[in-house]
Order: sequence, then structure tokens, then C-alpha cells
Amino acid sequence: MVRRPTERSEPVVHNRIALLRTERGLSRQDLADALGVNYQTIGYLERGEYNPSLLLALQLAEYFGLPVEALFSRVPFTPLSTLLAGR
Amino acid sequence: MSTQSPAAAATQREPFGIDAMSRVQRRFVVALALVAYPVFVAAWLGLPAIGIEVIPWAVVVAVLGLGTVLSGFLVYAYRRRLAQSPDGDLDERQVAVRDRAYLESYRVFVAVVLVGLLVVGIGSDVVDRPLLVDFDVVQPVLWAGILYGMLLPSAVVAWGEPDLDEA
Repeated sequence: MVRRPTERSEPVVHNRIALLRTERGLSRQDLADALGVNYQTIGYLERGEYNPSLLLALQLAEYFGLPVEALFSRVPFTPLSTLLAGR
Repeated sequence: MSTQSPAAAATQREPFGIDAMSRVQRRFVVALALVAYPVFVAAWLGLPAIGIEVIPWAVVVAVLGLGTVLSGFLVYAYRRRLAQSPDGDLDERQVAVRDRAYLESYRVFVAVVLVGLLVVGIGSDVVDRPLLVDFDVVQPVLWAGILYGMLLPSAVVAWGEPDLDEA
């Protein structure tokens, strides 16, 4: 129902939610419960089909204990494999 | 961190019925719900008028009426908590989905009403007959307004939501 950001001509906001969630062994349901949102909303966020409000973005950053710019970016994040290879 | 909102929990119950259907199945039910009523009215008014007596038209009308009610109820039930919940019960994406559903419903409703008025207006001019508005004409239109007014927000949500395993 919520149109993808690209369909709305809105800027795509890239994020690392899926990476961080997996790294910490959390299910979408776990993260959703912690943030007080529906688990489907986590899926939409991870796929970049829904851009969170500033409040939710800050809640996510707070939950993961990272600055918000470590979670969200206007440009695609460097793939982890590239970072690991030091390139 | 905050606790889960009431509707976030409420909308996470084990899906059943139309909630558990795939998007294709759901769209079929939505289409059925939207088409059943006009077909029902056409059968109700039209079959006796064209003299179809061989087929027990009352049975046809009853089946169509039942189809209208059942499919309408299914669609109405679909994510009704989402389509009709107050802001405090939904998370921010669900609020956006609900608001969009109401906006789309309003657009569809207005478009249908305008096209209907246009057809009736032009039609009465073309056939050069005064428009006769009596209770037999007004009643199905009133029921259509009630039915589609209640149904459209849920129908829009049911039509657009992805399969559960995609979400």
C-alpha cells in the first residue's frame, strides 16, 4: 500500500537495518517489539520501500547504539565485503 | 525503548480467512465484492423486465445478493483494524497506509459519482426524456453509497497489500 519511495519521486534513503538486525541475531518481530511497530514495517524499512520518520530513525539509532548516519544514508552504503577487503 | 502499540500487536495475530490469502486471491474477492452489487441490482430489476421466467430469477438474485454480502463482508473484514483504527493504535507506516486508502477511496468514489452523473445527464439528453427519479431508482443508489462508502477503504488496502511472506 505504501508506495515505494521511487514511485513517489521521493529520494531513496538507504539503510543498514537488515545488516545490523542479522548481526545481532534479532528477528523482525524482535526489532518490531522493541520499537513498538508492526513487524511488516521492519520489512518495508529494510527493503527501502518506506522511509521512516525522524523519530523512528532516531529510535532505531538509539536501539542499535549507533549514530543515525551509520544507519541511514542518501547514497548507497559500501558493501561489507568491500570494506572487509580494505578496498 | 518504547513498548509495542496496541494495534501493532492486534494486527500481528495469526492470519486467517482473507488475511491469509495471497494477493491474487484477495484481489479476486475485492473484484467480486465491487462487481457483485451492480450485477445483483441489474438482475433484480432486469430479469423480470425482460421476461426471463424459465430461470427462477429469484434464485439468481438470491445467489448474487448472497455473493454481494459475503464478498463485501470478507473485504470489509480485511485489515479492518488497519483501515478503521485511530492514529494511536497504529504505527507510522500503518497510518500512512490507512490515510492513503482513504484518499484513494475518495478519488474512486468521486470519479464514479461524477461519471454516473455525466452518463445520466447525457443519457437523458440523448433519449430526450425527462429524468424520472422515484424510490425504485433512489433506493439502489443509496445502498450503493452505503456499501461502497464502507467497503472502499478496506478494498483499497486489500488490493494493494503484498503477500504476507513478502512483508
